[in-house]
Amino acid sequence: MATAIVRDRWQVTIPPQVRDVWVEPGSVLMWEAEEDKLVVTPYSEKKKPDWNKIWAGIRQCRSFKSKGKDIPASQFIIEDRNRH
Amino acid sequence: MKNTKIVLDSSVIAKFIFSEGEDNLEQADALLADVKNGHLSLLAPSLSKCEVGNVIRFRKMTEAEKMACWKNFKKLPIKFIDLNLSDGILIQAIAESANITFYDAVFILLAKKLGVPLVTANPKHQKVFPGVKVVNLKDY
Repeated sequence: MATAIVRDRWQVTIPPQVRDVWVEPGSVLMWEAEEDKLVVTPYSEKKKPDWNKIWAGIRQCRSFKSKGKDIPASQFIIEDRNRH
Repeated sequence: MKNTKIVLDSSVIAKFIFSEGEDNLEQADALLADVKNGHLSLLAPSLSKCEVGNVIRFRKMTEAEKMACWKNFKKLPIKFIDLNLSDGILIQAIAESANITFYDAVFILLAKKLGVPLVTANPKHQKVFPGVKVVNLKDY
């Protein structure tokens, strides 16, 4: 359960606990007043991802060659966890 | 077909950006294909942003290439989830009992908390964790 204060101009800040899970800046929210509660729901017709751009970005990045002797990125992450 | 949620280890997310020396890229792409088809939703702890970010930071690439990696990373259909400070003690308990790092345990805890499988390419996750289904990426 997260709480938020309604400010002078009826503004409400989305509590940090639920920000990344459900909403992001630019998200549209639906507000429904029920008998004893106010229900806030992310608008369901969210913008669909552009899969052509996603796949193109992946292909582009995967084509980059290291200019040194880098170990595989997935291996770097596993080893990095032991370095801290 | 219903939409299934999974938690990804950063070792899998890295394969969406890098290919040099990486195995099981086809399986990584199959995950994304399932997201595209509406069968799968990808989740990861916010820690992943830092872990993948550190790869980009230390990779011997041009600045333009690093920028492209960030743009690609930003576009990936992954929902990042913050864990609470109160989760810390649970993460620590998992880390100590399984003799893995706190970072490795963050992914186990998130999967356990959400009741969803963890898909990983990290050998340290190939153990039995009560209440968590761990899927090796190569088996996806």
